[in-house]
Amino acid sequence: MQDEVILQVENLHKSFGGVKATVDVSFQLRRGEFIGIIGPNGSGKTTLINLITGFVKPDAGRVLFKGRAITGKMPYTIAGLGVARTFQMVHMFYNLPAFKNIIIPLCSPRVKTLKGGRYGERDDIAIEILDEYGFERDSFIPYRMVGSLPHGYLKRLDLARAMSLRPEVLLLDELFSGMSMSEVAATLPMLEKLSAQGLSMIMVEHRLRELFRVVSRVIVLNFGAKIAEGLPEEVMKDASVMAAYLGSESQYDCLEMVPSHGAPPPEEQPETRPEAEKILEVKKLTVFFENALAANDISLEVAEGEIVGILGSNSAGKTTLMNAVSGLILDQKKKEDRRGGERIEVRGEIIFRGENITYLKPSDRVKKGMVLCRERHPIFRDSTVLENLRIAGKLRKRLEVKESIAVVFEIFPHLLTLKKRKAGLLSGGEQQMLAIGMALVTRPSLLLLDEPLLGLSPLLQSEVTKALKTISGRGVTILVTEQFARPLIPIIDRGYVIENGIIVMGGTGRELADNPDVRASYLGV
Amino acid sequence: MDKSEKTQFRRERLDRGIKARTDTIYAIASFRDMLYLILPRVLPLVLMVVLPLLLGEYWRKVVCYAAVYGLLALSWDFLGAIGLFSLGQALFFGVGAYMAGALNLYFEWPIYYTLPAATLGGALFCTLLLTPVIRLKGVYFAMVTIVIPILFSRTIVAGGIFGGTHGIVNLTPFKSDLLAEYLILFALIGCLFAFRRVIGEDYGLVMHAIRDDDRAVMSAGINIYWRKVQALFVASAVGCLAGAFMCHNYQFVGPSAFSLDYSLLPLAAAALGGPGTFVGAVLGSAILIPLSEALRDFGGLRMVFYCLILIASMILLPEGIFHYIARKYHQFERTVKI
Repeated sequence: MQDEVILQVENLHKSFGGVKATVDVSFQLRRGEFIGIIGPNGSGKTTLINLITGFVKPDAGRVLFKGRAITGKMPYTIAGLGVARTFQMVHMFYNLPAFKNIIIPLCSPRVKTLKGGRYGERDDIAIEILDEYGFERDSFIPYRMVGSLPHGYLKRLDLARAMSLRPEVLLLDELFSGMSMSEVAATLPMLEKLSAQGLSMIMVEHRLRELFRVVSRVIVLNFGAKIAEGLPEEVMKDASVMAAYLGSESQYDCLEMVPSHGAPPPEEQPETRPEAEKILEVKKLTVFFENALAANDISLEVAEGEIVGILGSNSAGKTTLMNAVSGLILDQKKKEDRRGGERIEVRGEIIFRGENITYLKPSDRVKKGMVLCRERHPIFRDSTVLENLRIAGKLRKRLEVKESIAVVFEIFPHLLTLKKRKAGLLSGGEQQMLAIGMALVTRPSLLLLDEPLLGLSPLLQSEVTKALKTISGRGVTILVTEQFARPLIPIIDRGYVIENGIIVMGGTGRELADNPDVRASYLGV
Repeated sequence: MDKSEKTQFRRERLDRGIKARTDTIYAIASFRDMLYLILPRVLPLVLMVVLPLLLGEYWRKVVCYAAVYGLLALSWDFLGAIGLFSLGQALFFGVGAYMAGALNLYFEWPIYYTLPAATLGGALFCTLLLTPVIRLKGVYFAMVTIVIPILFSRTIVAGGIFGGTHGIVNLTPFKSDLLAEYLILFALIGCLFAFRRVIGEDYGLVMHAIRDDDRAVMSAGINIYWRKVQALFVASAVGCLAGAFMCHNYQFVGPSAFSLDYSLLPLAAAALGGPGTFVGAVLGSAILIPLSEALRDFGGLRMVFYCLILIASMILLPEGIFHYIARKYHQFERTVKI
């Protein structure tokens, strides 16, 4: 049985509006095998999973499951046959308790025919399933609203949901993206256990070190085509893979850039300029979402020309802080009370260039020179790259926009080649560059970046990091949040560590990198 | 904003203890707890029984009318629960009315046959008609549903079918007005309780899931289109019942049964009462329809006042009346020190 081919992909082709997303991809998955798929952003990994699970119809080629063609079948039919998947961006029902999310697959005909699952029983089955994925049965966690769960739990909930179908093949789309080190460490044994139980799995991932611990074979995609396949060690030595994916600095080399004990720092830390003017000052910022405290008494300062990093794990309050600073969340209790929505309260002071802007609208803050590039920043998907940049420059004069767009293309030369392409067809990494570019077009003096490296391949991570350095060199102050600090630590002047809405530590980049706690939680050393 | 010197206070919203007790733990200890649970459920039942006995003939007709709109609003809300945004409740209403009328006139079926036949037959007809467009989402589905009733009414007028402009007249009336009123009120309350039950079960959970994220539901191996067809059948059955009732109540059915009023007023009622709750749909029509009657004294300005009240309520309570009431019933506010 071990050699039975359970999933066979034959010559799959797919293009979106002239952009080739998948080119002639073929591979086999044997029963009980665990394959990893890696590749740069935009190499067609997610499209491949969508093609297999029926969310996207292929232009040519076919997919065989246990010898039967499943190409062109509806996603629910394919899931019903036993091919389950997770999503890169979590598709969950946020206003439901966690265990109710598991009820939905339990209602599917597949599970019904497998085992009972009548009304009322399902609650118990769901909680039992969740228990296996780290939602302790006797705790409150399975009953908590999905929206209030940390990101790591969401990803695991997605995994549990896929597994509750009792699939024969499981496709994982960047399960670890956005997870903190400890969350990944807690999830890995679950995958190992599933693999040991004989489940056939395919996993798309950027976290190579963790991926290689569990998979037996790796497929590398680039521009939609398969460029390498084989054992992890072999593939990593492949020259084309190095060039396409890892770049000159591989993920392992990135680590070397972190100044560690004994090793000399790769570059001199610039002295913090005491004479530099404070550009942003946050005083005792406290944010309530309904009754939950999202940011507690946060005070921080950013001086002119600095790059300041805010490190924190998921749900530590990074995004809340960024949104409060940029004005996206204002004190809205009166309005929300009437509307019955979440009641948000913001207390404390935000001072920008000596001016209290706590009650200023976000649009006015942009005019004053403060721009936020949000986590997974929304772009205008149906407009081209150039149009997106022009839209962002609405606030400035025409000539200025022209100049700043030229600057953006200078910083991100890759975008220049994609000028006429629709933004929706860009890969995740290119979209992130575009988003940063859009923020730059408004000519900010303070650029706020919320997790700019989320979901980027190692090559792109270092590219974006370099771009940040360039932007900073042009006299823009940067405040950046990140949970995976390894690539970021070398470029930041100062950093803060935020946990549970409280700033627990602050210091220069060097100090943070030397701190054992930080090294363990945010650098993964 | 001087924080260090003054103690600050903030308002906090919390569930009432009685809600927590009766919600999940089932430690219903006192008469008060039971009342807390039962009162909101019994109140509409009592109202239903008492109202026709208390009111005069004119206002009883208004209650009837409100109940018909209530059914249409429920039907709209049920489709909304699965993510089908319909602007064509008039289709269900008209099909039900014409089917009951035709069966009654041409085949001389009595009322107790025409009502169920028009309800189920009409629902089947509407479901088959709309199934091809069930894959459309949002505004596209709404666009199709809004033009189909117009298509029907124009076909009837132009083709002279079912009496053309004059409609079908001299249909069998109900034996007594009181019977008719109790019938429609019973249907309304029955649907309300049934829908609220269904939406609370796993079936309703899947419906809401399809509305929120159909990709996730598809990846869970559930045929979302079959679920939508089922919801469409239930919603059109309710709409057809309202139509069939109305045609016997008026003893007449004409092309006006497909008029835009029957599509838009239920929507306004549901939006006013609080969409997604079903109670809101009923509450909304129980307010809107009598209100429009009460404003008759204003003559020509009636619609102006009507619209102003509607706009004002949308701005002041955008979540809908029922959500507001439910929140005040289940939660309380208190001031706490920070």
